[in-house]
Amino acid sequence: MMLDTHHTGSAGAAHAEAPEAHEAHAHPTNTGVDNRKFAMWTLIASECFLFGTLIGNYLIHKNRGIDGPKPHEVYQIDITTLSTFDLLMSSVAMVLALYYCNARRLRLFQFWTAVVAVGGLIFLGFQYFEFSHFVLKEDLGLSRNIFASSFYLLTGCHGAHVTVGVIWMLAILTTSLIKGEKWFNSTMVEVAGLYWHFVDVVWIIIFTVVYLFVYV
Amino acid sequence: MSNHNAAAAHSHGHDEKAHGTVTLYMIFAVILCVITYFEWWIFKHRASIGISQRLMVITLLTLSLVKFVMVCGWYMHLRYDHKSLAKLLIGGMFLASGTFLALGIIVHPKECDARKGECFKIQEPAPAPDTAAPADTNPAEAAPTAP
Repeated sequence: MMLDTHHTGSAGAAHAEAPEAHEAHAHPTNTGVDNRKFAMWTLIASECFLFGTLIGNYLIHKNRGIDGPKPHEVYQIDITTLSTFDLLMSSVAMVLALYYCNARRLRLFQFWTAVVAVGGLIFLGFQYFEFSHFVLKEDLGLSRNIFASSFYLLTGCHGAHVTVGVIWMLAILTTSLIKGEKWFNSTMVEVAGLYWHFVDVVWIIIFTVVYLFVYV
Repeated sequence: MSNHNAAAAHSHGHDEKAHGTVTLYMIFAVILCVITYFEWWIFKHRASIGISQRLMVITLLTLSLVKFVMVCGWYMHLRYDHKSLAKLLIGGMFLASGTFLALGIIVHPKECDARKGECFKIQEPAPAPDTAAPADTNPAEAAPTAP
């Protein structure tokens, strides 16, 4: 089944006056959802699969390390809680960025997008601190034991996703700074927001299952 | 059909003001923070409040689920959006759960109980070369003999 059909009649004509701002309306779809948004949700569904596997892998192997420190000896729950707060607040900033993008409030949109990017960078800073603490102070490198390997694989994969999200936010911010009010691409911001919220949701699960269940 | 879908795409894609207000988002932010703080508090004071491990797991999982639903439902606008998107997410979660269970069954053999440390005994590493007897020496001969 074709997902795209060329627009005809009222749907296209109604928004012909501002094609860039309303480009999502130019392609009605069989699903009733913008294709980019649908694609992002499909990606999110497959990412659920990926992170589900990585979390399962970690849970199976976390207590099987023969050599080196155990999870409860190295985790710093206080610092991880702070980074969780940070990521949650960046998610709030993201939803506000989308809100002001839809409201055509350029400065507020740019401000909250910058807050999202900064929040992501702070989270990555926390992760860098955690990893360097593990490696330098606890002598827990990637190949020290199977707990370390599965932990770094899971949290590193999540950190890579955050990095991609930060780059995406900075790209959106830069584009809006260059193009100004001519650029208001709500669908693009919404798709980026979906990605960012998903990264946040994954961390909600990781925080509970990996860090708070350390004695389970 | 195309007009109907165009209208649907319009209503689902860009009617953001109908989704929520800044006040609502801020209230949710406060709730998310309080829940996270509560999770941390339970973890930190689990001994002093005398909570059993099972109850702690159930409580933390429930709180985590509440946060998950809040972010997916309101921040990701799944509550207001097209139903097919929710089905996509549920499908992904279902597949993830299946893989999770399969992985547990395949990789975690019954004879290996990691919590009791039996895995460590099974996979005990060989002694270091400097303390081990040479390969060509009979262990019986190498052992000291009684006077």
